[in-house]
Amino acid sequence: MEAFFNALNTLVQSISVLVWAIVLVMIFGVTSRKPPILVVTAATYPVLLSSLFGAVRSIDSRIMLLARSLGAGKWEELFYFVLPGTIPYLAAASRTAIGIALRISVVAEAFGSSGGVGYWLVFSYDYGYKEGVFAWALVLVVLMIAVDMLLLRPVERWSEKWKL
Amino acid sequence: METVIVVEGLVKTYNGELVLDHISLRVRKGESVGIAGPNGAGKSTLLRIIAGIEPYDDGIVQVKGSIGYVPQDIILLPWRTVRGNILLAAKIRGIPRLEAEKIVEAEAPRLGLEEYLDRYPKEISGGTRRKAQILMALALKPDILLLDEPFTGLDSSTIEALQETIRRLREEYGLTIVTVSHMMDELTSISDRLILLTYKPARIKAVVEL
Repeated sequence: MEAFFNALNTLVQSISVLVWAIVLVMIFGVTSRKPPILVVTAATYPVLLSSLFGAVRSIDSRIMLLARSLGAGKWEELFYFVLPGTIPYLAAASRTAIGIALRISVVAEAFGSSGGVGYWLVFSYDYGYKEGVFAWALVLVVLMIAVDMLLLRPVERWSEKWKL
Repeated sequence: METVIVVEGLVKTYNGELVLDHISLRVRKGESVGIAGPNGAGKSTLLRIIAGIEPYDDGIVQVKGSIGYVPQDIILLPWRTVRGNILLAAKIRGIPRLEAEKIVEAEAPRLGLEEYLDRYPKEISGGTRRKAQILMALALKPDILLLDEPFTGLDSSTIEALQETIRRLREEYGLTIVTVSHMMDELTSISDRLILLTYKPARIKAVVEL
């Protein structure tokens, strides 16, 4: 399974985000919400997936020893020991992925959306409205900092206590 | 007295190196047996094999009854409180929650764990974590308690308290106890019989009735 997803990752990542955005707009249309969502997913899921595989591999062997000593079945191992053990790694990866997602979403919105920061940024640019371009860029920067400081960092700190 | 642990001609190798060389021992019900030997002799490997969590190459290992295993490296899930860890362990072993809670409520104060039950493992000391792991093993209603280096890293007063606890648990629950340790004096005070192992490969050097 890991080999399959690694191959899929390589395929998805080898195609530019710009190409994804244009192709998806052609398929779903400019007014659809799907292109930005799918482009962001394509850009972020490789980070999350490789982190998940890495986390599962790096689960402390003592945790698995505990599972074995209790006689846990495969599903119990997965739900009570493996998945919770991956949380700190996924929280750290989410911080990176959401940073990527916010940046990519602007590109995706610029091409294939009828709203959002990216759309309004390009809209302002097309009409030569400089103040609009800077204002929307500022909104984006403030949004990214706020999400990082108010949500992602606290979640990452909280998840640290899940490490053995 | 009925024999509850039989180990016959046990052989274990790691990467081609002989670790346990034809170990044979028997433990009777209600007995407390200490297995002593230098660090790295293979005592913990022997205990893990008895616990059924380590494969072996040759020989016979038979265990009659349920096991509560307390490892050398205390392992409590960091995302669950002490109580949460104990109740999860009981759930996996199929012990009804009410029964496990009853044991926790009865034993926690006696082990000095009452105020730590709702804390996370990272918030409590090493000695308290060890007691929590023992409580976890007890909540599984074991017939046999396997203790791996229970005194390592503890100060003398905590060691004395733990020895007292082990003696009391044996009396009250009729437990069969197997303890491995490199600390001979500490082991002597809780054992009826001492089995001494040689260093690499581990063979039985002597059996001392106490």
